[in-house]
Amino acid sequence: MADYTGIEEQFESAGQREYADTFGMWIFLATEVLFFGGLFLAYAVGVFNEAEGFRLARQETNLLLGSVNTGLLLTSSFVMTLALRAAQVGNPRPVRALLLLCVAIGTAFLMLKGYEYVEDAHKHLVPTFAFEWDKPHPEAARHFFFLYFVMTGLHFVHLTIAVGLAGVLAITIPRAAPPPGWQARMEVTSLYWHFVDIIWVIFFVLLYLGGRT
Amino acid sequence: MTELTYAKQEPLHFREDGTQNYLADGRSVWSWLTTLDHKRIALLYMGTLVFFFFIGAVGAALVRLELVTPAGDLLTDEGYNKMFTLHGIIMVWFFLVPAVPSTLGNFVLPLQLGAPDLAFPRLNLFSWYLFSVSGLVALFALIVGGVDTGWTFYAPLSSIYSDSHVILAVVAVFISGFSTIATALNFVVTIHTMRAPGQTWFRLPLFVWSLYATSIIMLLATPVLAVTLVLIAAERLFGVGVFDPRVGGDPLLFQHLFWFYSHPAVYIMILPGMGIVSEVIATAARQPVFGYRAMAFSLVGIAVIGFFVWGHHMFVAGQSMYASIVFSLLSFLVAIPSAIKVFNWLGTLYGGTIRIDTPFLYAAGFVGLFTLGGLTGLFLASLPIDVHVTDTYFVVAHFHYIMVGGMVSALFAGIHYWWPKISGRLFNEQWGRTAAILMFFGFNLTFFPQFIMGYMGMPRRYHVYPEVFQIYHVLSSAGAVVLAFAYLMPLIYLSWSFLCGRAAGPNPWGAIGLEWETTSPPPTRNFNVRPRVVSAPYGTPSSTIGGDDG
Amino acid sequence: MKVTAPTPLKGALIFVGLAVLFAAMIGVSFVPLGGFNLAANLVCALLIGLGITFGFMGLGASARTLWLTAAAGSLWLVILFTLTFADYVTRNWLPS
Repeated sequence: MADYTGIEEQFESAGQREYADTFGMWIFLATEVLFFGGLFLAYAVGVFNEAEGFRLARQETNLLLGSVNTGLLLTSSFVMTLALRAAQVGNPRPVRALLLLCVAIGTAFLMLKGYEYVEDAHKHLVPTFAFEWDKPHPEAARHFFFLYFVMTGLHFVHLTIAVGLAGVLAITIPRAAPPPGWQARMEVTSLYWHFVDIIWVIFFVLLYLGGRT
Repeated sequence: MTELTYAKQEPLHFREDGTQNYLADGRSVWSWLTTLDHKRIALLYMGTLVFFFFIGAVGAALVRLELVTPAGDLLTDEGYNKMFTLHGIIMVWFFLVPAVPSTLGNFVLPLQLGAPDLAFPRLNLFSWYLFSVSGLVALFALIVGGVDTGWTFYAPLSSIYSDSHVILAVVAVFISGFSTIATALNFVVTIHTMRAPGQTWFRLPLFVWSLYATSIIMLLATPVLAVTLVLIAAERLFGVGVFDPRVGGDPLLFQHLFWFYSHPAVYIMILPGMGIVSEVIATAARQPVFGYRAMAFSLVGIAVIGFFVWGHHMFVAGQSMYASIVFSLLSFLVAIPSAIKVFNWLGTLYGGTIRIDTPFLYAAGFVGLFTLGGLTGLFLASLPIDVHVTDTYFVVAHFHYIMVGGMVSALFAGIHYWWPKISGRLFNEQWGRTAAILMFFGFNLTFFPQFIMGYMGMPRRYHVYPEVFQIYHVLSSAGAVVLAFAYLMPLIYLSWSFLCGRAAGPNPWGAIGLEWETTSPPPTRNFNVRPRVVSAPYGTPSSTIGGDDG
Repeated sequence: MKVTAPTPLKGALIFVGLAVLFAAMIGVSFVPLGGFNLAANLVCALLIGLGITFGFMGLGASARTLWLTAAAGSLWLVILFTLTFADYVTRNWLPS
């Protein structure tokens, strides 16, 4: 091989590279909107066909855990902007601690969600194994809990990736003399993190709120 | 004007100015598997796609062989279902969708932008690995028993009733979708950020515009397919799901989600072909493309309108009649930008001194076959005729005219057009022209009878049929044999050219465009000096290789 | 490096705003509004989403291309919903 690595040389300036990275992440997030959009559509059709059944089923999800988790993610988003701000103004010192705080909050979310899944299983809400429903509309409830597990499961995967990205970034950025391009990596990671947060807020409305009056 | 330049044969690997070409830049297998050079990744894709093309062709061959007689004497019912499913899945996701963008697009796009590479070379290589892994998963699904749902995976057959390896196939297509998204994302960012100095949007070659339009579709449609496949797999695992009518789900929801991807996916397959044909026709006619801006806008127009028409696949599926009427009207709109393109290609040729080389023969074939495929599409978009010919060979013939007659012809036009740039060698023109003409006749012999028998009522996906259709099936299968020879020929003479062909020189066609301003094959970083663009494409020579004035 | 993140103070104010919206969202779901509960909740969620997008992700200060990218994702979601529901809403209109 020749002596160039081909990784950086396609760009003419650091600004062009940063813009390309940010733009690439925004495009990816646009694709994610449509990925989750398919789930929103499936949910909307379910509500359209089975409004009452979905309303009853929503009452069975754990509102307290869901609310705590939503609060956790909103807080993590704020912490993430503090990290990004520090990175963008060229102050790498607090970045690692702030990122690790995000990782901790994200992990707490995942653990709470895992606990909630166990609880759901004990309440016989998993639509395939020993599903039990003593209220009206058992079919619609199974339909709802199918969506509940698929939607929260896909969000779980996304948040796990986000936690992984933030964790790797926290570990690989030395406090002094960070490597070139680290600010763009920081921005890209934060964009993904915020997006996963927004998706959760919408899921929270669809899967936890409603039917509580 | 410039004739084909037959330069003296020169050693390929070390040029006079000392720059190495990309082919000689590392020769070990490892250097290829870890390359970040878009040109090498394009060749990796090309090799992979040729492999999958032949796998898919085997499926088609068995289907055509079975259909020679009215009785089902070669394959069982289930075996036949698995064969056309194999043919569909492999040809759509593992050949047609990446056929041009990942190969020729990958190779030519940075060259046409005067850029040293794509914006994200590592992502580019990663997409090839994703694609290869997904292809292996698909092959594994076929080896362990196959899939019998048809390439469309319609629920509830795929989600509940089929006992074939649906989950494996779904996983394969899901992964290949991410490879598609990675390529498209790379292209869009590259086109936005890495154009040569002076290369404004309306100085872009039409092939770049076509890749841009294609990438937009890939980005906005593929994720919906991905989540739909997740829902299918989850429904098989849970035994219940959103497509299951027993719990208030709706099988038609699957078709809505699936065709939201798969109708635009048809344009993923055809738009890059339109870009290639525009380049080839402008070069062959030695004239600027007629109505350049209309051509660019119609590419984007087809991409956008393509998202509003998916319901025309569901006219007889139980969709609301009112929605069908809306979808029917919207479907007719696609004809407008398509017609603009056809007329402008003819306008480009009008009054030109046309040089009938191999790429032009393929491109001319494209224009004719695409027009036929497009016009029969209007039949299918109108409700009463569609009710008559739904799920018949008329539909099969229609989309093969677009995808094989159109897209594969355009792919071959592009491969022959850029072959001297890719390999640095010339191929044998006589062989090339023979193969192009053979392909045109073989194609029409295969698929024109299918229009007739489809209109008479021959249903698709049946392998036992009334004797009245046999003559058409025999003609069609005979055409498939001719077509197979026509596909094998380029493999032979292009391989020969790669090893023993005469050196091509930088611009054997006398074409205008940045990719022809560098050596053949190009050096690893594409250009020794960053080119500047000073005028519109196709018209006057579009660049000056001069100092970069920063 | 272009600064897209808000200052810590501005960020904190946005965060407080989001927390208020979040509390309002939960609160409103206990008020009987009939069919409008879901709508009210979704409006709150939308505002939170916009707050994060423009406040934290810096979309407002970004280049027009990024803005178009985000808009395209949302617009295509609208296409998916509109044309699919054009089917569901009208499916039983035809007198049988």
